Amino acid sequence: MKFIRWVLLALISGFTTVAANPNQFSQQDIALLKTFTLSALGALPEAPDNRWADDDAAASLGKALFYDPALSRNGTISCANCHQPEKYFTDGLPQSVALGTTKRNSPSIPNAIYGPWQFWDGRADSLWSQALKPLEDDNEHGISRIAVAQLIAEKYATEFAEIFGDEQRLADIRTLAIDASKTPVVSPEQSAAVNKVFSHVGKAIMAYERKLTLTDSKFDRFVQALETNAGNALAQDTFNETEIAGLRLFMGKGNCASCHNGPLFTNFEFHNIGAPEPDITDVDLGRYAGVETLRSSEFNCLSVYSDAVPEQCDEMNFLKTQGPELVGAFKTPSLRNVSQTAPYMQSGQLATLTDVVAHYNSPVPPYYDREQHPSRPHFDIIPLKLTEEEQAQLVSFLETLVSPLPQNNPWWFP
Amino acid sequence: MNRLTNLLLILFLGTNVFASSEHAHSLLEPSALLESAGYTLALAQSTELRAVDVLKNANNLRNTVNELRAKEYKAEDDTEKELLHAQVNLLAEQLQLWQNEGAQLRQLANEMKHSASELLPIGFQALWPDQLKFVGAMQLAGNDHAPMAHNTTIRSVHPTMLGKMTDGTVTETADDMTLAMPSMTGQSAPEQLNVSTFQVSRELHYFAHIEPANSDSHTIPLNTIHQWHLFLTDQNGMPVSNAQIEFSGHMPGHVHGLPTLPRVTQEMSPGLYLVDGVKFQMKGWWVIEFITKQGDINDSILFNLNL
Ligand code: HEC
Ligand code: HEC
Repeated sequence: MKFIRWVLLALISGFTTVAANPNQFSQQDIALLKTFTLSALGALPEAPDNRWADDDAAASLGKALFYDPALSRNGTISCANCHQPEKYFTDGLPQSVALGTTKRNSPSIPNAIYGPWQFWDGRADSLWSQALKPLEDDNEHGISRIAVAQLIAEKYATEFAEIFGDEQRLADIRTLAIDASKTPVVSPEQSAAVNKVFSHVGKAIMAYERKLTLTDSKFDRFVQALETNAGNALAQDTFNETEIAGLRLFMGKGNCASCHNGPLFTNFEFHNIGAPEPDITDVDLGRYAGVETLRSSEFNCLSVYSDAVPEQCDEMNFLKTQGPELVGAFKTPSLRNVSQTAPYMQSGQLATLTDVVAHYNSPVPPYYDREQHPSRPHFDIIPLKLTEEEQAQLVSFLETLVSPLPQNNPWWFP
Repeated sequence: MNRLTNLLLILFLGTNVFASSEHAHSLLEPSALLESAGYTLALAQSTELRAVDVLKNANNLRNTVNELRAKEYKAEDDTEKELLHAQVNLLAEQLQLWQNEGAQLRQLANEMKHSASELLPIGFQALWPDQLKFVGAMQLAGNDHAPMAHNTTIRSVHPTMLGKMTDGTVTETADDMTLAMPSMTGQSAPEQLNVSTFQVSRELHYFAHIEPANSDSHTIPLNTIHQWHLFLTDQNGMPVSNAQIEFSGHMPGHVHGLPTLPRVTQEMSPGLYLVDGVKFQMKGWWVIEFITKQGDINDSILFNLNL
């Protein structure tokens, strides 16, 4: 049926140009599309800075910590407040709300476990160092590392002793004054013990996050079907015509694949696409500021709390620290499950995928204020001139990237 | 070769540019091939300078001829007209000879450059028979049919360019594909681009070769930090030690540089350097430059990669 319709359409359009059959894909098309499927993902990235990254006991412990609201100033906030499993570990809000309101939008964690950088500005170089930031952030968990260490000594002593060999450290921590109203007097040894245990909290959470794997989406199944059917899209019923048209736009006229590529639909690099500035009185410098925080981080790959030797910290050793292309640039987000993780952009400025595509279609150059910006931000995109129909097709394609929630993956849900 | 070029060559033979007996070498010496390439390039350079000179003089002569022609045209006195006519004709004949000579010198210079560049790969192989692994152009892993090579149209645009960008994305479809991809118009590498991994430096002080350090594969990965080997010799084919080398890279047509700051981390053996931290976040035409400093000698070596 579809084929007949296509032939008719081609006849009506009078073959002014040689009309390509949108339903026939070549071997090379399929080879390209396969580089976007989960089958191309490969093993989890090596994590020399976290010796427990693939330790199951650490992962179970990490899961408990992830869902434990005791790890907060008021005993009600856990990571899962803002990273909810049924929302693909996001929270559906433009900016997250816990003890206060965060500046940015909560990203989907399963997409993050393959990237070299964490946060929109990449200010953490590992999942374990990332996990420590929300704990101490006043708007999020709002709990000090000392309080975290004390809680661990109380509640998770057995696990930390067994997995990380922290017995002595926890003993040292127990000798700290418990009076929360006073800043405890901490000796250098106790401080080292606190930091070490604190870093182990991050490492356990990271081991947990690495278990959050994705299942095949409609798109992945479509590419498999193309492969079995010699590229004939009429022999499959995964994708409809609109989705096929959207896929072709994504790779072609939409130019999306130049940044959103690979099995997670991201190159993990930083770009400025001119998303509306959320607060022009306090502009977000993105990667430009992120690099500075990263370099001074006490928990990066080069730090004493890392398990890596410095030579293994490639990204830190060859870090790009300057250049106008860092100004206002954000990490290209994965587009996996994107239709389930609205709103969009670093501060949730855009409510729907239709808004996002409209933005790409007629982009406005980034806001520039010479008082606040170190240099004029570079702008990485060009107007697309897509019709309304094409924009809708692109959105339909983005909606095919949903991995069904893995109901029988015990790691995923509390 | 015509008479004049022969003559010129003979002239060169007499100048100190040419090898004296101390440059004579046994062809068994590993540095010999690069040394002769170095000599040929020096020769090409002086030939090129001669060509420029001759063509400049020819240009001046052409202006004179044109002026005389105008005078001849306007002259009212017949004898004057005739005299001018004779002058114009004779000078035009000279002009023709000069122009031919300039063009031939230029061609000769190009032939010499070409022939020298063909010596480079075998010259480096003779010097580093065990370490040097790859002579072909650098390629991206998994890019045999280059499906994504069309797909690099990320342009950094200045707001003042916005008016010009109203056409939307230009796409093209490769022969073996049905998916249209953004075309690289305006940023694709020129057709005759020299993508050899063997190059001579701008000031002719050095020869250099780059290749992926991973000896299992001649390809390099996208979006992944990896290492290169840089082989460096002077114009006599001798390995250069202790050179200070800076690395820079950019994509012509983009404002972007590399996503990392690669650098030379180690001289593994004389003239063989390890370059670490290399990462490409995009396919397409990259220009890589090694800026070298050795005593008071500043020079730079350019490589084009078409990834
Ligand atoms: C108050 C809400 C909130 C809480 C609580 C919270 N997060 Fe987040 N999370 C965010 C926001 C907002 C961001 C983005 C911040 C930024 O980029 O500056 C983020 C970023 C992340 C990222 C980076 C993902 C990426 O793609 O860059 C990870 C991983 C993450 N959080 C894990 C955690 C863990 C683990 C915890 C518990 C220890 C936690 N979060 C607690 C809101 C929260
Ligand atoms: C130059 C690289 C680049 C190109 C090209 C590009 N994107 Fe993006 N995309 C990004 C970056 C960077 C962000 C985050 C920007 C921010 O938060 O300010 C983003 C954000 C998004 C988001 C929001 C995701 C989220 O979780 O918030 C969607 C959806 C999206 N892009 C889809 C597309 C589509 C569709 C196209 C093609 C029309 C496209 N992108 C082209 C780099 C790019």
